[in-house]
Amino acid sequence: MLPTGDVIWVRVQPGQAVTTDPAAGPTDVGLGDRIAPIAGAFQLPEFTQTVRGVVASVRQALDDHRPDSMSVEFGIEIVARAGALLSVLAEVGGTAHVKVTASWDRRDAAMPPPSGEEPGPT
Amino acid sequence: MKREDIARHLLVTCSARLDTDAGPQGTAFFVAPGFVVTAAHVVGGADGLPVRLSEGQHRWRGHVADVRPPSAGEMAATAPYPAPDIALIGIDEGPEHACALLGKHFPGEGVRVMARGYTPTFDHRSVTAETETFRLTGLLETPDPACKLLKLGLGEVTRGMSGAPVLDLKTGEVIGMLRTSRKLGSNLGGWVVPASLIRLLWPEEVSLANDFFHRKDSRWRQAASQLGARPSSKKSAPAGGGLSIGSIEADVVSVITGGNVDSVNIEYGPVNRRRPGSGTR
Repeated sequence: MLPTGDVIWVRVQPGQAVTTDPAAGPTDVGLGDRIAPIAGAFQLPEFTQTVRGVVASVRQALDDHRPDSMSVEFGIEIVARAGALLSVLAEVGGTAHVKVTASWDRRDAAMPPPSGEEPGPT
Repeated sequence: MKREDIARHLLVTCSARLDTDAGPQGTAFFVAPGFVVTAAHVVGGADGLPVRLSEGQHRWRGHVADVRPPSAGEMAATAPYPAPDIALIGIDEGPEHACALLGKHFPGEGVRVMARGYTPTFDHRSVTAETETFRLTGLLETPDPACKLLKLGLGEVTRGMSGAPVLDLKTGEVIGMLRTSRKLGSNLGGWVVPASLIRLLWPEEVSLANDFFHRKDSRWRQAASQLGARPSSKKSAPAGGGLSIGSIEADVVSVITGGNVDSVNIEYGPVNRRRPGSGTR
């Protein structure tokens, strides 16, 4: 949940930096580099701004179409060094991928028009 | 009772899971009344950081009182924390507790040891305790000439074991603190900050207090005597410590099964409460 009260579902997937690499050398074995940054990231202003920015942009783009529901999928990279969060990035390699799914339940089409506008014989 | 069972029980009495506000971070163990140690990278090298410790039904609150070295600064996320990578934590609040019997010398190579740490091994979500045995395979010099690390092999060091006590299965002494895996997902073991160095870093808060604790409370030494050889120290047990082997076993087991850590430390005073910023450097 964001500080504003908005609920955002996050599916956490291990990134390259925390994936166990069989070829890797000595590795400190605290849990902070894989748990703390994820938990702490949600408190970062950068994280909140990134999420809200993406969601607001998508909603604005679809404002005229007024979908009944909308889902947005995008990637966020959290960079941690020495146990400290340094930045939150919404793009990798200069490109960002955002998947938008909008749906309409067509209730407007099934409902009768408002009174006074009812079609009839003329 | 098997040697490994006794060792496991001794490790339970001194070790604890370490959490910060960001969640579980690793393991720590009591080295003196009111003091635990963990790896510096477990607390992000942050002096004064508040932490929570837990073991069974027991809970403690404390803060980082000293870090060696204080911070890793800008370094690659995958690089090991600079040596020695150890932090002293002062306990502010919580019940009395047992203390690990800290060794004073480098153990011989080939010695079998056991570590106990809090890891997400089971399902990668919950953090639970696990033990692992190793062989001591050698020494590793670091850029700091005063700091040599012990090398373990023939066992797996998993994430969360940073700060775990490593116990000599023959003497019952804790020979040091785990800090690094030599290679994750392998049985190549890891690196250990020697107990002798821990004593050297904090000669009063840890070394003298550890000796004093075990002069007052002989149960760890007596339990350790069942492992096959006596610890290196020749200090005799205090009066009142003349329990039979059988009752010592029962006492150690009761500490574990009953979760009554106080029973190990019945002669020691209240926890030393230190304030953040009153570091010991």
